[in-house]
Amino acid sequence: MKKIFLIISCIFLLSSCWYGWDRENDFVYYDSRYEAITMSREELKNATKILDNQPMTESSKIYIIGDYIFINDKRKGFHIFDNTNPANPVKKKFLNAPGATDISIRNNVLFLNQATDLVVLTMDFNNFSVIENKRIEEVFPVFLSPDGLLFRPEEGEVIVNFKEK
Amino acid sequence: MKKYLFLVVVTLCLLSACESDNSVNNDVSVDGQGGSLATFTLKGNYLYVVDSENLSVFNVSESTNPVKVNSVYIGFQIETLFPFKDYLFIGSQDAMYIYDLSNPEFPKELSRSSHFRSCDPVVANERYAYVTLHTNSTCFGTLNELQTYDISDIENPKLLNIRELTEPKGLSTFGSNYLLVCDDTVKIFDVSNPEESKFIKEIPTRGALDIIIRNNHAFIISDESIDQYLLNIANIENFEKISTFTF
Repeated sequence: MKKIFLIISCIFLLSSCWYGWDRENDFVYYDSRYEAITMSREELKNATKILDNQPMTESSKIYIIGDYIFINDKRKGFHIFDNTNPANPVKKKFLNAPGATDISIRNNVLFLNQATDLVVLTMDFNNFSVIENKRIEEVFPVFLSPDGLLFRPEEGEVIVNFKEK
Repeated sequence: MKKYLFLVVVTLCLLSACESDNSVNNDVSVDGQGGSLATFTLKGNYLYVVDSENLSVFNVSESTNPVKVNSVYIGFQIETLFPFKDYLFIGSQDAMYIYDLSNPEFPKELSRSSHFRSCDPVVANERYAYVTLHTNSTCFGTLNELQTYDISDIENPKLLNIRELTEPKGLSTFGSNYLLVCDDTVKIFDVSNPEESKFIKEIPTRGALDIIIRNNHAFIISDESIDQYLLNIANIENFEKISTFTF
């Protein structure tokens, strides 16, 4: 009898490691090994721009249009290469786009995702400048943490990535 | 002599113009090309995007002003989409789905071929679909294989064979006779008879994630680099490296 009590209390104690109780939002969540990187909508929009070359963090999708190669740096943006001379591709610019994992391009119009948003940019390939034409918010699901958990961002905030705690 | 040279140059220029024209659709607009791991694709006036569960449809007839016109629930852990003719091949962690786009705003499920849990891009041609399944730290399961489906009856894909590989990821067909698969190296298979596909030769790029083949030009993305190769369909073993860009 004592043994059963011990087992039950162990399970109870262990479960408190896995479950958390978020009093503010009033829902139960599993504790993740990761913490969400969030941005306000304004920060996200302002961060979406061309930067000088950046080091590659995690190469992901590849996309080719004309003489240009776009390589997605997972949830960070796109490295843009001029491949006019395939024997010597030149890394030109970085399209900073937090939360972006993929792209499609028609002429000079770029369609990409940024976490929950679909974003449309027009690019001038002469100087690689971009302008944002449209952003359709909340059309894609909120990113899950790498250990598969759903975080609820604050009002007006967007989860663009995760980092280990 | 000079005249002759001039003529050759002009001919070459004209020929190259032909070549680039071929890569452009009859459409006025020019679309780029994604790999087999893509989750976005443009088709006519529509942009299709898969997320972890849904297929979203955006009308892009005015390209700078897309409008979301539909979203269809597909299933769990959707990973990739591949357009072919009026079909969309969708890879999830446990199935290959084929959707009909003849009514472009209302994608319709034609078939679903389930497999064990793993990550899986898919490519297809007129008669066959090729699916790779791989497992690693983020994809659970214990499968690393290449599956070939006969899709001549698109509503009833038939699994023809399974080939065990190391950790296959992106893939691309090259003509109708060859299939290139990003495994521990990039492996070239002769699939002229898919039931008896044969390994031909490997391209030595390691850690390759995906491959795009445009005309006879292969772009291979890996963890470390972009490798470019010139392929020769008449002599497949005789490929030539163009460049490596190391990140």
